[in-house]
Amino acid sequence: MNDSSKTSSSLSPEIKALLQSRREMFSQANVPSVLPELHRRIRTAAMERTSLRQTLRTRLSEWAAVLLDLNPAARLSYAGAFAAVALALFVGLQQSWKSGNADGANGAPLLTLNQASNTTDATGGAEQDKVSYSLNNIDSANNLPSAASVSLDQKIDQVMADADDLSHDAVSAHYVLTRTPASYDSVVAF
Amino acid sequence: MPASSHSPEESDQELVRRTQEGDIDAFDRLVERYENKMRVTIYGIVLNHHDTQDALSETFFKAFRSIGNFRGDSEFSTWLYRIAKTTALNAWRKTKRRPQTIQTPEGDEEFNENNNFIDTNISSDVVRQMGNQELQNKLNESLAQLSEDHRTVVTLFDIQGLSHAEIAQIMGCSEGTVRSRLFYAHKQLQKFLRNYI
Repeated sequence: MNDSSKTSSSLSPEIKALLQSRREMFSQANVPSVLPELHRRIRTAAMERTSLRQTLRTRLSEWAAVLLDLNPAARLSYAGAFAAVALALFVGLQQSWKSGNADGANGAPLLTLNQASNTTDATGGAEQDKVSYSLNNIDSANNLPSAASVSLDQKIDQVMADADDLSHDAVSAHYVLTRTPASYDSVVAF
Repeated sequence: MPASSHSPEESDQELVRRTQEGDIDAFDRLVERYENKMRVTIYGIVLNHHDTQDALSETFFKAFRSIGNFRGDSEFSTWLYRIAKTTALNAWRKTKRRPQTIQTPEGDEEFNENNNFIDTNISSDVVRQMGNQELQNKLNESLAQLSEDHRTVVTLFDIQGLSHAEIAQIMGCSEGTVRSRLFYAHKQLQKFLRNYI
């Protein structure tokens, strides 16, 4: 208690005495205990919790009883409907997975730039830019993504975008194939 | 509920442990032990008997529901005082939002008439000369003019007799803050009551 830590205060002894009289006021007063009210509240809270659990259990039991009381034909039709929904869900998910694995827009082969290099002809001719790229395709026979990755080197023309002619900035360069690769029908921008 | 068969010297910790194990009688013992202290504390904050009784019941109900989470990091009494303080302040704020003020509620007049506690420990002749009820009302009016924190500090220190350290724990502030709040609150109370005492 506070005897040891009391500090000097500006309170007069009369006001201190008045404040301290509050404690005696309650200890001598015939104030009813809070225990009966507390027990009532604890009981009510417990009953509410029990009542909630009971209601939930009753509802579930009723629902199960209604389901089990159905005649065999109705039960069969419920089971059939459930199976149909499950099957539709399964097929939908499978289709979604397949289309997700088919790279490129609308299943078109996606050309991926692996490397761009600038070389000079052995004869000392003009500079040639070569690209190496790979193509992921769909195996049309099996309708599955093709695992094979194809690379090809080909002479290309380089067109600089947003850069002057002196700067061969590979990042901003556009590579244009001078001829269509013989083995592929479709080339997507890269 | 039936009275507990355990010894009356059981510590708070022991009673808390038994309550946590589902012994409601043990909690009853804790209520009996702290009921009056919490009542005085709550009354010092809400300043009327009707709200005090409600907040007291709410305090022990909250304590009962939360006692499973009480780990004994602080004294049980400190933990309980903290709940009582929060509950009382909530009740006080609700009272303030009500249209009528709490200056002299009918419940308090009835309480004062039914309980003759006049001049119990007040030694001053001046105080004796004035009606105790009027003085208590003036004290309530003065306390009501203090801020919530200042009123709480005065209640815990001057009425309950707790130490600065205990009050700091209950209010979640430093001991220095408790001292400075007390100093200001005492000055204010002295100013408000100087014409009556």
